[in-house]
Order: sequence, then C-alpha cells, then structure tokens
Amino acid sequence: MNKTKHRFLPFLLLFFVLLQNSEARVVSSMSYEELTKKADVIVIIEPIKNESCSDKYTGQLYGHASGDFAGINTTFKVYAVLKSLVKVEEPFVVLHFISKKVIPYNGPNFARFFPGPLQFEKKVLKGKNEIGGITSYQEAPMWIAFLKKRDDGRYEPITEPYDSAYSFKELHEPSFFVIP
Amino acid sequence: MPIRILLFLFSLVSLQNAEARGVHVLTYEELFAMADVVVIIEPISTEKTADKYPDDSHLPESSSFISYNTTFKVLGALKGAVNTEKPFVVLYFNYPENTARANGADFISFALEPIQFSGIIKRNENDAGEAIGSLFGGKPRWLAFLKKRDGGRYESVSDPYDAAMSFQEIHHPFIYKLGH
Repeated sequence: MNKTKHRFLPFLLLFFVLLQNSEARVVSSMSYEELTKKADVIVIIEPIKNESCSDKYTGQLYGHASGDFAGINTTFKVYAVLKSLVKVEEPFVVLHFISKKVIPYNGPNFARFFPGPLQFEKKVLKGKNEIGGITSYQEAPMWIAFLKKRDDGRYEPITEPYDSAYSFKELHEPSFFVIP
Repeated sequence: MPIRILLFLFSLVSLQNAEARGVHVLTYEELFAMADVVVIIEPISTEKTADKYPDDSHLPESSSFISYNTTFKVLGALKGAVNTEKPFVVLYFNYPENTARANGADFISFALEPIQFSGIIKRNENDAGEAIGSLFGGKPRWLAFLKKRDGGRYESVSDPYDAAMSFQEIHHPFIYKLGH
C-alpha cells in the first residue's frame, strides 16, 4: 500500500504544479445558434474607416486597467441584412475596443478591422501536406457580424466587449484546392 | 492614318482572343433574396451520385461532370426553416479531375477535414516586408445560399456552373499585428 502511495506522489505533485500554472480564463464562445438568437441584427459588412472615440471601456477587465483599452468607431458599408429586429440605417457604425498595449497570451479577443482591399497570400494544407498551390489575391475584407443596437444608434458586438471577436466572422471566396 | 489601321487591326485581334464568358456575379442581397435557406454549415461526408447535369446547360462537356452529395451539419439558419433532425444534403457538380480550368466553371468542393490557411495579409501587393497578420486554420465552415430541390436536397442558388458563388468560407478573425 505504501509503495503504491509513493508511486503516485510524483504525479500528484505534477498535478498541483500544472494546476497553479493553468491561468486560462473561461471563455464562453457562443454557438451560431446562440449568436443568431441573441443578435438584433446580422449583417454582411465591409469596414470603411476606423476612428478613435472617447467611450470608456465598461466590460470585464481580467486584471487589466480600463485605461489599457481604447474605444474605436468603425464605419461599415452594409451589403446585406440577414436578420433585423431594428431599423438598419447608414452610416452603420460599430463601437468596439482595442488594446493600447501588446495583447498578452490568454488576453482579450478584440476584433480588428482594416479597410481594404487587402492582399492575401494563402496556402492550403492538410496536416503537413499542401493540397493547393499558394494563391495570392486581393479581396475586400467582408464580415458577417452578430450585433445589438445601442441607444445612441451605433451597434456593438453581442459578445462581451473583452471577446468582441466572437461576434464577427470573416467571409472569403472559396479556397482553391484539390481534394486528395 | 497607319496608326488608326494598326489600332483597328489590334482591336480585331483582341476581340478574337477575348473568350471570357460573361458571368453575372450575384450580390449578397440577390443571393439572400433568391435563397430558400441561408445557413451556416459544416461538411460531414461526401459521396458521388448519379445525378445528371441539367440538360439546359448547352455545354458539350457537361456529360462528363461528376455529381456529388455533401451532407452537412447545420450550425445556424439565417433564413428559412431547416429540420436539423434530417440530413442536410447539398447536390453540386465538378470536373472529373476535380480541378479548376482557366475560364471554366466556378465549381465548389468541400474539404471534410481540418485545413490550415497559412499565409500573410498585406495592405497591398507592394507591402512586401510587413505583413499585418497571419491566417487562421481549422475545419472549414460555410455561409451558404441555397434553394430546396423537390427530393429534399438543396442546391446552390447560383447556376450549377457557378455554384461557388453561393458559398462563402467562414474564418475566425485572423490575427492582426498591433499598431497597424
């Protein structure tokens, strides 16, 4: 019996060391069903311009100072309204936040938007094998966004501001590849 | 005078070489309006079928096109009622060799296993030195604009020859560098 205890002792110690080092926060990434249900509007949009704004960050901080985060108004062109519980009007402005500092590992998942067109170089891999050539193409950055309308007429992500990226997905033309 | 003649001859030669087919690229608004269902889907399995390419295509090569059924998991429905209890099957076509041809069809194919989109994103072609982000990898998911067929399967709202137009790849937001 004593021998068995000693055999498990190193594993027990390792377990506690790992437990102390695991500081990953729990992120509740929403399913598409939840995103669709919770959103006031679901739109296909393209970012046109980013402007700093004076809005204060009011979301979860997870150890950061609120001054570490800066508000951004991004104006989008609306290509299609897939769901709308409110009237969608232009200019279509989304309030979101970015970090003023380098984002640490396990930090916030802030969305970033760059007006296009952007140049993409894409290599399609399956495991370590290339199953398509390297493609280089220019594309307007298109997004599908799950948003709620604010009282001031702007929109904001339906996920927590700290994880705003979960309310946005990038849309791309189908990749070219050959199924092996 | 000789230069005019040269230009005229050049325009005739150019006309002869211009064989690009006219494709009406459907806007997101048109795709949404035409679709019976707009869904976010993930491919599960693909099998060849015995379906013939539509007869009204007038394409001499169409008899060689291979038909496929891909079964998808429906992650979200943005338009139309979808019975998630039943298999969600999409019919589409491809070349026998499953590759693209210059000025050919804009067929679609679906990778069933995780794919890495490795590469860089730049502001423009000349932005050689400084990529502003890196691409993301994962199991491909799609935003699909589909119409229902009589047998219960679905097909692209765009012409089967340009099926890819009805599908957009969904990627999680790419990782962008700070300070751009």
